[in-house]
Amino acid sequence: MTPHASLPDVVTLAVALVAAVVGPGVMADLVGPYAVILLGAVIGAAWSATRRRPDGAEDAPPPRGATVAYMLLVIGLALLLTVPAAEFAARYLGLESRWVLGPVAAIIGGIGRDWPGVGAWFLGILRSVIERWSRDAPPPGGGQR
Amino acid sequence: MMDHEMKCLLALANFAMCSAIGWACVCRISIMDAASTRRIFRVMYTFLFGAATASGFSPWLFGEWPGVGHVLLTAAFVFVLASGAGAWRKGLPDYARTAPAPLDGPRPG
Repeated sequence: MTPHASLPDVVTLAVALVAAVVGPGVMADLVGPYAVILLGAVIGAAWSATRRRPDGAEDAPPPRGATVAYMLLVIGLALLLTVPAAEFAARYLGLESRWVLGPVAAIIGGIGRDWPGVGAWFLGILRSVIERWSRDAPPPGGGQR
Repeated sequence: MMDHEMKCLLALANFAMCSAIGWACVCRISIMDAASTRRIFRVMYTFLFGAATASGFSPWLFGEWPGVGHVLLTAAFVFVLASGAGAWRKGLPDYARTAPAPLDGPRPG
C-alpha cells in the first residue's frame, strides 16, 4: 500500500467501492485505510457487544437481530469518526495518522453503548475548565475582586 | 497457477463459511455479558468475529484470494463451532460462566 499525504474521506471511499463492484480492479490506495478502520471497528463493536445484552433482553430468547443492528450502528459510527479522530490523535502523539487508524476505530467501537457516558464526562471537564477560566479572568472594568 | 474461475469459487466458498462463522459468533455474543461471561470467551469470540470478517472479505479488503488450505482451515473452524453448538443452544454454557468463588469449609469449633 502506497503511503498517503492525507486520508480519503467516506464519500471518496463510497465511490471507489461502487466502482469496485461494477467494474474490475479495486482502488487499493483508497480502500486500504478503510480496511484497517473496518476491522478495528468490527473488533471494537464485537467486544462492546459482549459486555452486555441489549435492553429488555433478560428473559427473551437470544436477541440476535438486536445484536446485529447494534454492531452495524457502532461500525457505522466508527467509519464516520475514525479518520478525524485519528488525525487529531496522531497530531498529539507525533505519529502518522495511518498508524493510529486501527486502534482509534477499535476504541470507538469498543466504547459502543457507553458513548453517552463519555460525552457526559467530557462535558464535565469542559464545564470545569470554563468555570476555572471565568473565575481567573479579570472582572469587567478592572479592579480587584 | 489457479485459474480465475477456481479462485472465484474458492472465494465464494470461503465467504459463505466465514459468514457462518460470523453468524455463530453473533449468536453466542448476543447471550454474553460482562457480569456472567468469562473474559477469555468474550475475547475469543470478539477476535474470531473480526478474523472471520477479514477472511471473508479478504479479496476486497486486501486483494488476497483464499487458497485451498485457507478454505480448509475455515471449514475446520465451522466444524468446531457446529460441534459445540448444542452447548450454546440453551444459553451460556457452564464452562463459559464466571463462577462464584468456592465456599470455604465449615469453621472449626
